[in-house]
Amino acid sequence: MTVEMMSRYVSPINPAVFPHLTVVLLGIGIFFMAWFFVYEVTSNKFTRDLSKELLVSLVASVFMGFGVVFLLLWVGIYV
Amino acid sequence: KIDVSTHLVKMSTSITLENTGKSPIKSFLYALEPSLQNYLSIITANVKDKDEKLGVSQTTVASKKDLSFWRIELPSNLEPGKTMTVDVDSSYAHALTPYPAEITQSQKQQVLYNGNVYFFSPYSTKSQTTTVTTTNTAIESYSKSPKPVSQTDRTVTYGPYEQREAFSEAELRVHYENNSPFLTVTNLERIIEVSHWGNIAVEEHISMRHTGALLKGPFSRYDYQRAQDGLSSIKAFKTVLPAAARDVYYRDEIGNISTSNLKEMDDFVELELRPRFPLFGGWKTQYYIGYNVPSYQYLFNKGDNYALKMRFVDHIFDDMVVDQVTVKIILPEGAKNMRLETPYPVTQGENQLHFTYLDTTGRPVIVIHKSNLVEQHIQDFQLHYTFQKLLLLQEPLIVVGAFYLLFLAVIVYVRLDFSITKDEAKESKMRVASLVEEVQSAHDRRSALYQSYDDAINKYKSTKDANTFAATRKKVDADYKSLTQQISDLQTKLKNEGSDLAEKVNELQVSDRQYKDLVALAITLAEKLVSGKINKQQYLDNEKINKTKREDLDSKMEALRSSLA
Repeated sequence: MTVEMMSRYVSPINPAVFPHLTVVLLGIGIFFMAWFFVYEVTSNKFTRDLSKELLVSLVASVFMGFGVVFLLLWVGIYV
Repeated sequence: KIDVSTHLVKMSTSITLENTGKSPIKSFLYALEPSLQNYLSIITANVKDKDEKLGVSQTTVASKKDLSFWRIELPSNLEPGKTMTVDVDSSYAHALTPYPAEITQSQKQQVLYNGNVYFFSPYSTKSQTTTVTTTNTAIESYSKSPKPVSQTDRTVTYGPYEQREAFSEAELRVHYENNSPFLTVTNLERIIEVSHWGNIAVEEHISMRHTGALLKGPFSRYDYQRAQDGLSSIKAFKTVLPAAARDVYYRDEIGNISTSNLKEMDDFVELELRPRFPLFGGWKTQYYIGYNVPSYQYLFNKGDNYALKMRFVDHIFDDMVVDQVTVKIILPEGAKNMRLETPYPVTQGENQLHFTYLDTTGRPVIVIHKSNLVEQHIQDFQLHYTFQKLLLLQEPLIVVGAFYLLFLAVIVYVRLDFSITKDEAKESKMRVASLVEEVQSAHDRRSALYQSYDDAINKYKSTKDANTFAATRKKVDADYKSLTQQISDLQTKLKNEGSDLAEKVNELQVSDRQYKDLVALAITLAEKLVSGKINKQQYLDNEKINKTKREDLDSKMEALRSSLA
């Protein structure tokens, strides 16, 4: 395998969209995170629903996780 | 031709080979002068007026073990009786000696070049000429034998000489003024960090020294600025970076060095660096520069195979000399099967691991060493490795996992109860609160049903389809019944808790039953209208009364509902 047979490597995600992706993903992530925390604070042990908690926190962590990665890439810390 | 105008000795020998034997010749030997052989940095050869470089490799000759020989491969066989001209270029670092070895700030720097007048070759030379080119200023002295010797402004010409045998030597000594920068990079560490998100970060740690005549005596800043002396000192130099270099920084141990200028040209980026202090003989400084380049310039791939093609060393300053270089290439986590190809021999060190953001097992680092490099060593190397694309996903998933752990901790925390006794009143209040919430949500759903009642009635009035209406009505009735039952159960539970809110819920149920009766009345009215038992005007009047009554009840129920909370 020589270099001549290979094509140039491009990033799976165009660096020009890092800012937009960051804002969108972090925005949604923060929304779900806020929903989760408000739910935790306003519920008592009889109204709490574990499946709802786990689901909302899973969605929140997925969006926040990807949002944070794109935030790092946008800022220049190419992880 | 010997060029000693900079701190390097650049020798360019144009050799016309003649095959006086009977068989074709494939290669020939080039010998280095004994006085210079330890300083050799690079040797290249090409056929005259052609660009293609010929293969050059180091060999030894049994009879002359202490001499340095290089075998140069000819592009095509040299037939007997034919001639060929080959240009051999060689560079020698640290071959010039400062003489005097120490100077004061105001003195000029003078260096000595010791070489060979004749062409030191394993073959006899029919005819040769040697020229030594120095700097623009005066030549102090030069060896005047063997004749003929002539001197023009900056060159000394020895020759032409006829019929010299192999390995002939005669002392060539030139003492002249050389104020060109005698800058040597004593140690260079070049760190290339490859990220598959689209960026390659390059950082160079440079330690440099002025290797000219040492400074004797004090350094006067006043004299330096006023009298423009210290001609051989180094104030600033220019570094050429790749054209796509961005986010350039120039720092040292103290912090950022602001005395720099960046100019973006078409083919390259020119960075003019001025160290914090000028460098005089024997002085040294350390700094590091770094920049980012996009990965599509240097990284290639096909499937899971990747290849990095970058310069082994990059330009630091013109006519640079690097004593020691360490190149470290940091690949993304999970890269395997690394294979390195270099244009010249290098020493590969042990692979290391580098830990940085979002790393678990560490990033593999390829370490390469080499010594004695000059500008001609700026060539590409190739590093092949394999990397599974899916491993790129590992980084965001680590962050997702971290956030999820945080949320799980919160979920566990709210379930912790360290109270010693069971506080009945508080528990009861909580139970009541939960029941009230359920009542409210059930009531909201029931109110929504009324809307479906209205929709069904309107549809019936327009389509006059009794069957569909009956079916819809039955369905809504069933939902209504279940919800009402639910609220009654909740009411009983509330009564058990001993809450006075049970009364309010009772009131709510009563009002709701009245509302339901009114809805039933509306349905009967609509049926009568459709079947023609009453006329339009009557219907409208009755409908109006019905509606006002319903609105009153509706507001009453809303008030009750809010007061429950």
